[in-house]
Amino acid sequence: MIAESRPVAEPKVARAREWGKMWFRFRQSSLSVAGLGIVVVIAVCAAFAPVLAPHPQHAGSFVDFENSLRPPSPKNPLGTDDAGRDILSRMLFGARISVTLGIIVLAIAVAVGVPLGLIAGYWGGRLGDAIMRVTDVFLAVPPIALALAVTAALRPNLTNAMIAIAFAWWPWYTRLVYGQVLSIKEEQFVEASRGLGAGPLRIAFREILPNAWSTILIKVTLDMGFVILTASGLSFLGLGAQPPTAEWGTMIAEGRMYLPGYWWAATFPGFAILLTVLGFNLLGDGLRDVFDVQIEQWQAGS
Amino acid sequence: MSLMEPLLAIQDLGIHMLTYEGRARVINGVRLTIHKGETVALVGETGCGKSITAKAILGLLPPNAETVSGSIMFKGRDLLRLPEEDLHGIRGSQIAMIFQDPSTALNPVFTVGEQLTDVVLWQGARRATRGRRVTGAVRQRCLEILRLVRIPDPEGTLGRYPVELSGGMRQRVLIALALVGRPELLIADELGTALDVSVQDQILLEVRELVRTGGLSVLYITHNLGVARLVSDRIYVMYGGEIAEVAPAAEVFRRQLHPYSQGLLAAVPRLTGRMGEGIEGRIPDYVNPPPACRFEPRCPFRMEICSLNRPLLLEAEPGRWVACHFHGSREESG
Repeated sequence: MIAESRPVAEPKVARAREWGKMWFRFRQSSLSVAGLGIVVVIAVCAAFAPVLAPHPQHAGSFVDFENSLRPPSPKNPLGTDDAGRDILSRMLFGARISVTLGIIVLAIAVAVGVPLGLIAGYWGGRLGDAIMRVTDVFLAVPPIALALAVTAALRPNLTNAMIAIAFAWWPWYTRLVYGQVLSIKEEQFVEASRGLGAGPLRIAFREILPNAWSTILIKVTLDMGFVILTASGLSFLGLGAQPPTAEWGTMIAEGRMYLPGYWWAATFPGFAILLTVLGFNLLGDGLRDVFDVQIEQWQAGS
Repeated sequence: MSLMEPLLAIQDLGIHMLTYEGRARVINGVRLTIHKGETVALVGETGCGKSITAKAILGLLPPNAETVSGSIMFKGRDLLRLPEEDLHGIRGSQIAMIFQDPSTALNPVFTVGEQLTDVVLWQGARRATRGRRVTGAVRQRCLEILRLVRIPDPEGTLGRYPVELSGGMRQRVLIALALVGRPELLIADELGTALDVSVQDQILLEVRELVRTGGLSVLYITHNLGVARLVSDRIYVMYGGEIAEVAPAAEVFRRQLHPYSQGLLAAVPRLTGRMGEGIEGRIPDYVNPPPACRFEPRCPFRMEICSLNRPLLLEAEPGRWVACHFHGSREESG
């Protein structure tokens, strides 16, 4: 063999190339790009709400009955609610709550669910059975119903809503990771690394888990929308964020009474939820395309 | 055989597999020795127990396997009776295995460099260094080993993912992974079988060269007698979970003592025309194996004694051992 005299690709360059390829695959679907766009807009809204909002003080317990239920106008682009607060401003602050809540809930779900799934899948045995049966019990109850029950038992507020949703959400990750681990652990590279002297912990966390991350990431992205929807649902029912907090579900609940005449009070927060769920779903699908292609190539390349 | 104590000595290995059909006696009294610097080939049909023997050495048997007898002595320690934690210290750094299928034996989500570094580090951690510092020395070692297995552009390869490499390159990376821990015994399971013939030959010759210069001992697992002759000093012919014949590589080709070896050689396709004849019949049923000689039902020279007594592996000529009543007069009642 003769060493080719091609430019030396350092690991960093290889990474950059890998990202470039993924971005190329991602942008093949305009829907994925739209999803990413929506998610970026929501993230920007959440991050810069105080700057972007025309009336930042309206986010909390502000009252101006002189201007209540005004239709959309240059001063209040999306109108005002029953207390005279600017709906656009409140929606921007609502994005902040929803996104933060989504991230925290999913971080808990991943932190609890993934290790449990890994243990159950890799070590199995009685412990694995025990973990999976508990998971099954949780999965048998719809997450919204379980979250409802938990918030009802605790005091209804935003923190408890978050705890309740996380409580209902982790088993999905256990199940997902469990299935992934069961198939990945039969791969030959797992046996090969055992043959090279790797211990069980190293195999579980260094060989198997990294192969499951892409699937977990896809699910997290898809779930982001659903967690936000569930949280808004709880708030709508009065079990999540409490008035006067600017939360989308709470805003719909308050504005609903004035439908259909003062439609803007409930409709725009509703659109915000719709757009968020849609955005994260499209993004998740896009990510799936990116990672699946990688998997297909790997198998085809054999 | 020399008087020196062998590097690896398998004695009377017996392994059963618990299957739906019953208890399969897949390895039945296998005996095998490898001396320092020696290359040994274990040859036989698919399903004759070669890979199981190799996996037993590394303690990688599937969960339904049960070791019923024997010992595997490696440098004075019986690998069969060693606790799992001690085996971690032996695998990779003292006995390493080159896996069969280059397309699936590499972890797809890590670059070649990451996988090599991992092995260097986790073996190094037990020896000298601590922590996860990817120092220049580790990188140098990775590059050195990639050059040794003749990978063009080793610096670039470090940053590549397995998907980006050809089959031959992946096979080389697998060899590098096995060699990077400086093992004393290398087990090569069907090395190169998944590659094209030209690449296979090249890899085999390169490994032979590495072995010669590095003083390694190697156990080749293969179904191909041609490969066995190309690479090994001694050949063990295995049939139905038993050793049928042991002989120096060149001698097996000149004259085969065991009828199975004859059949195996006749089955090798030749460039000079006709397809090989093959051996009639199938490998034995391991749940209800033939009572005495396991090859008896397929043997063209079978005698009455063959279905009564199990033939022992006996020295028929100096350096040549065979388990067949046709050659030995002594026998063991089966």
